[in-house]
Amino acid sequence: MSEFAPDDRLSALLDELGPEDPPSTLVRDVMARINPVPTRQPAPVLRFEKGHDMTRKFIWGIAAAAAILLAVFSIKGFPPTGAGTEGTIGAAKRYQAAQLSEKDVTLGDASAQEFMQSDTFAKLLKDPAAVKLLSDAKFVAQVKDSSVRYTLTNPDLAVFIRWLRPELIPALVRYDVARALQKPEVIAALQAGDLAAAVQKGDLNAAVSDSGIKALLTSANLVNALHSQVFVSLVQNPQVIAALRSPVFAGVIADLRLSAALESGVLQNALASNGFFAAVQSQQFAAALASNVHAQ
Amino acid sequence: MYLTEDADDQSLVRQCMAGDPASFEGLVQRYQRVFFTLAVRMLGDREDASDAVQNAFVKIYEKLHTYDPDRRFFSWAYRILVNECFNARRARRPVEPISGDLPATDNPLATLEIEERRQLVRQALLALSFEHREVLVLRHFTELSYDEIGSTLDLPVATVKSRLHSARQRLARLLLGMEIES
Repeated sequence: MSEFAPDDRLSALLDELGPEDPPSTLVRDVMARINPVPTRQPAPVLRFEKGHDMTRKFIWGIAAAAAILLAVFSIKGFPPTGAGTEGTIGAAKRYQAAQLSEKDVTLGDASAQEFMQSDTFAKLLKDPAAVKLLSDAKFVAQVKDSSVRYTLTNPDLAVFIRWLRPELIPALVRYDVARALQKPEVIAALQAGDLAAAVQKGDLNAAVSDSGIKALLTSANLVNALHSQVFVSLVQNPQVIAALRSPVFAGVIADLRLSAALESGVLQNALASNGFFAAVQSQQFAAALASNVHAQ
Repeated sequence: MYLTEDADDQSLVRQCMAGDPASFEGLVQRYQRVFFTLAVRMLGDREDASDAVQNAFVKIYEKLHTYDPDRRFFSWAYRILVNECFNARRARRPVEPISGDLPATDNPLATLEIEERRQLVRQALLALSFEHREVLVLRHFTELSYDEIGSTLDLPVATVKSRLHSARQRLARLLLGMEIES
């Protein structure tokens, strides 16, 4: 090239390069890396106004999404019904160890010290169900997921989980049922408010015909739950929807010990506390839980 | 050309800040192409670019609480991408020119000529200083205005213009040396 018409020719050459297509796995890889990363801010608990209307289609769409995820976890392994719900209430005693030192708390986080000096922590130690759950490293790791933590601190969730158990979850965790609930004709029947008709539809009927789940799907408990303001509030909440799509969350709510731990609200308060996760990594916290487990 | 409008960026950022990590996927989807294009042009290597873009998105997520919503999201996020490109450049293996597989065509000779020309342009870009390459790449592959480039690079508009002019001159000289047919 003997001479450039500087801008036009250069621009044409650069334009000729075109965009580069990113690797097809880039989004997935990024999301896989960020999911374990907790957000820096404590997750706020959102409240929703009463009286919001929403389409049943949306409700059922979310229910189906949750069902599929629960189904996945049913395949991977689901805690046996009743396990952990039998926590006995023993003589709880307030933890009275010596004051915390810097080395007891990861990175010397002052918020951890504050948390362990708080009433919330004292109440936590008196709650056998919460103590049992927090003594499980797997559960603690799961609730570090910010969407899980946020959703668990939603007071409506505890109500909803209690409503669903023990009736619905055994039905939802069935893969064929979850698949059937996504069928348009089933959704249409559900939208019409006719659960009895819905379970007569092809795939759903086949899915439930030999399982006795048909009765569960038409149970008053399920009908009430799906038409309740609590359920509507939950599925209007994008954070809750994100959690429902999270395999980690599915694993958490599949843990039947959670129902018991959510009863008092103490666990939820602890999860919403600033210093909770810093404290939970300290030896002092583990020692306090251990002493209370033994005391109970 | 490659930079989408960021009308919904603020909404996605707010959802992330409210503790909804899933909404971050929307931002990744939106910016992955332009970020990857910029990183490839900066680094000249797809693997390095992919690593840099991944690292940048993770850091963007971690630093989201420091983002000032009065700024354009792209401008803020781009600084993080550039830092990751610098890091990748420091740790990089020897540069291998990008090899592009030639697409099937009815006119293979013409295709070959175009691909050779593209290869020379890529090499010339990589021969520029990082500062020159950066401003040129931003101008051509994001179509940001001079003002926006200035905001993104934290430079006065006059400096953007003069740097862009120098970068073009330098690129032109490099391409002339490579004897690109006009």
